[in-house]
Amino acid sequence: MNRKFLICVPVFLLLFLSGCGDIRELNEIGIVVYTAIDKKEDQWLVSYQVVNPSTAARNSTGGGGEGAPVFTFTTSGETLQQAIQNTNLEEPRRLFFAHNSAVIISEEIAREGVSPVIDYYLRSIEDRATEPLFIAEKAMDILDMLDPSEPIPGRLLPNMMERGEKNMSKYEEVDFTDFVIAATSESKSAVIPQLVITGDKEGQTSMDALSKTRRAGTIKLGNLGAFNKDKLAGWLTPEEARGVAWITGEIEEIYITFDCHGKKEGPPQSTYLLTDSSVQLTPRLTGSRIEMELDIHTEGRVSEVNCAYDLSQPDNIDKMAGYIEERISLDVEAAWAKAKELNADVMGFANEINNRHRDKWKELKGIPDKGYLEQIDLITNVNVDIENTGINQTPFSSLIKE
Amino acid sequence: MGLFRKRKRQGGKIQEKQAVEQEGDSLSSQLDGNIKKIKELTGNTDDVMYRSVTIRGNYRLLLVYIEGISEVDRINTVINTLLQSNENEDLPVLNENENLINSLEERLLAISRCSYVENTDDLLTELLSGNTVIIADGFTRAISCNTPGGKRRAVEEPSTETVIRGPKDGFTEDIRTNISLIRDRIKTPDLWYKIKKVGKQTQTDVAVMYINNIADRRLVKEVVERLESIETDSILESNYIEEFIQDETYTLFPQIQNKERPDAVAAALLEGRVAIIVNGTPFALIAPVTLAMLMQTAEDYYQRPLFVTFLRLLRTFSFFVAMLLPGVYIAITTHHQEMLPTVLLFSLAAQREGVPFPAIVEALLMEVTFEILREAGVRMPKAIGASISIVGALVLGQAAVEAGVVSAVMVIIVSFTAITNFIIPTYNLSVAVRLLRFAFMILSAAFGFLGILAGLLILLIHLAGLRSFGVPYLTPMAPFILSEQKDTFFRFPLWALNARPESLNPENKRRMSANMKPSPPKKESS
Repeated sequence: MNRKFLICVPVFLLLFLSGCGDIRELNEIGIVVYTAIDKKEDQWLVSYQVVNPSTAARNSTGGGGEGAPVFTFTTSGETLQQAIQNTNLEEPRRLFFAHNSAVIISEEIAREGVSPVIDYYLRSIEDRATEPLFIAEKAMDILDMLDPSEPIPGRLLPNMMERGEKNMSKYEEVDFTDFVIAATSESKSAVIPQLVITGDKEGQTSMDALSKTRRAGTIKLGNLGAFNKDKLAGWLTPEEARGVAWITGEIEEIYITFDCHGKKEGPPQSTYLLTDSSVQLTPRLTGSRIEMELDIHTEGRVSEVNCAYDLSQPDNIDKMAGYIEERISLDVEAAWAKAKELNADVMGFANEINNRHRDKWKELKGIPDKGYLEQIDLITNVNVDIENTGINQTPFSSLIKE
Repeated sequence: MGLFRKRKRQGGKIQEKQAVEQEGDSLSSQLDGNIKKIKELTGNTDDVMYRSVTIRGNYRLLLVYIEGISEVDRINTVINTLLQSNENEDLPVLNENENLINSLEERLLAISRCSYVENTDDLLTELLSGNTVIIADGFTRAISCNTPGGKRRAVEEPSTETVIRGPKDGFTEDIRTNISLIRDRIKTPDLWYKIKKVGKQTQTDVAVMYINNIADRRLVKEVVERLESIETDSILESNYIEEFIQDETYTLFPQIQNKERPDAVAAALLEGRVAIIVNGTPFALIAPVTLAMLMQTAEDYYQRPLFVTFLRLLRTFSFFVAMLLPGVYIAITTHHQEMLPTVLLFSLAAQREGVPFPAIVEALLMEVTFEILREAGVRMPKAIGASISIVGALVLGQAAVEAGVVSAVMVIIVSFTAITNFIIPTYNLSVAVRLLRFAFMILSAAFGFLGILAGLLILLIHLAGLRSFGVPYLTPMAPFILSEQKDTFFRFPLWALNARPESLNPENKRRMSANMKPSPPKKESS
């Protein structure tokens, strides 16, 4: 009895003396949804978009709230942690980062090297390694933008990325894990998508923006930043980014515009909707050089044809397929040229070489700054199948002529 | 034998008790002396009735009975039978002491169960059981005739265990009725029971019932021995018995099941369990019992197997929800906010804006309020009870939210927890869950999920250590018994449940022949 009692006492004390450990009530935390990191001279400027729960929740349940669903503020410090620590000087709530849904890094930091940022986030207990990364010219500006199409805070960027990934196939969401794996790899180069603000930025920073039908300004996905180690090496345009996606086989569902007479200049007038594709990349050794053979096979249908073509003729369909193939080849070549220019192996050729010709890769590995790219020749074979032409066969314009 | 630790401890007591028992004074041959004695012993209570009858002109008989607990019609029949013997000529010689009594008893046996009484203690017991005692002048032996009566509740639908499909009769307060309800269902001569009087003052009839060639003999012996070891002055309800014979007192979990339904008791008897029926309460006891059994209902065997399996899984889920939900809510919202989907976190955070108390205080406030409402609902007069408790819950809940004292989610959590608690079929198990909920709330407020995990581990260790009459409480999960899995979380079709629970060690293991699965008739080969 006595012994039992003696065991029970510390257990009870544990309950009451632990002081409720790391307890934090919901109304004592500020939920951060986006973090932006800029640098001014030697000071880190960290900006936070913090949710205002009462208005944010009202938005998510449909009713319009009073006041903005989020507020932003910036703190500075000599290190990132110090800057974040300094929030305690002005923010009554303890910032809570576990629901941070994007980290936006300024272009300046990206060019200098993102290592300090990555290091901080990999050590952080609250932040998750699955937070997507973005680059913007001035990162904190992105946080000021309100968007009426996505009233729930913290959902805009991840959702935009998801759509961009699926329907445009230009960008892939890059989170800390992806970035670290790519940047530390000997063979692959890391990428981070860029965010740009188009239109009037000031117009989107107040609640008035949410009551207008047309957005004054908006956040868009811009170029794709290609990294050499941890430094931003340059930008790939959307077309080049798509070329990269073709090579890495990440294309899912995209529209390809083309001219139905094969002209390369002038605006294209027709569109091909890709529904399925397969990409095969085969490295082959030819003497001292490496030949990369890229076989692209696509299936899809045409969704716009604005020239007088008789699509019931298989010949015409084949001709059109040829033009589309040219178009795809152009994208691929542009991406390849840019990659060589930036010395960034964004498409992961080195991996392919390592997989198939391990000895060759050991030889190439020594060349600094991804110099091995110079020794690779890319040969592109594109095979486009047009499975159907939609529910209409003859272009409408030719119906009028008859 | 280590299982029956309790028996060894109490072996000594039984012998002591027998030594203490004394025989009462024997009856006097003088009728007046006997009357005086009875009056003296009963304090000349008004409801003890004396009616004298003279037969054969010179033999004075006295009928003694207690008004209210005996049936007047039957007493009158007894008197008529006695008077008829006046005309009867061929009575044996009268001056031999016992002959009159013997002949009268033979005659009375035709209308009622009779027995001899030779001392005052037995006489009083018979009187107090509602029997009529016939004392003759000049004889030291009296006759007791079975004439119990009085007002009794009729067999009604059980109020605590209602079913959609299944028999609608429930036990009453009368032990004879209750036994007959079970006899009605099991018509085997092997259904045995022994009635014992327990309680010095109340002399309550307690029947231990079992099926002779099914129930484990050691189990029956154990139950009987534990019953016999009870020395108390009163048994007013079966819980009095339960608390005296259960294995472990300091636990929230019941180790003996109480049932109001004769069909459920019959089913338990057929599995090889022992039932204890106590006079004066409609709740019969069943032992041994396991936790899994407490989560089952009689109706589980009257509905389709697949649906019952779904229900059982639902009950198991509800068991954990009822115990853990408020704790998990507190743990997530105060320790592990990262676990919530972002949008849900926003709305939870919005609701907590302006709530003055920490989540644990808020939860305790609501839970205690609910417990008060519930207890008040039981006490309140039936007519207003239901409406007041609903109104109280709704108004109090809504008003508390609007006043900003508690958040709306907390009201949802508390009410959902309360509803899941009602799914648990056994009331005294659901009580255990209700109390444990508070423990888990405090643990989670202090340590988050770590606390809940620790609590669950302690609970598991505790449950694994409990036994009910030698059967581990968590049977058939721990110890794991594959054959009993057919009727634990799952309910296999009845033809698949062809063996009695192994854990009960039944004398007769098979319930039915092995291949009872219905199948179309085989074609006769031509």
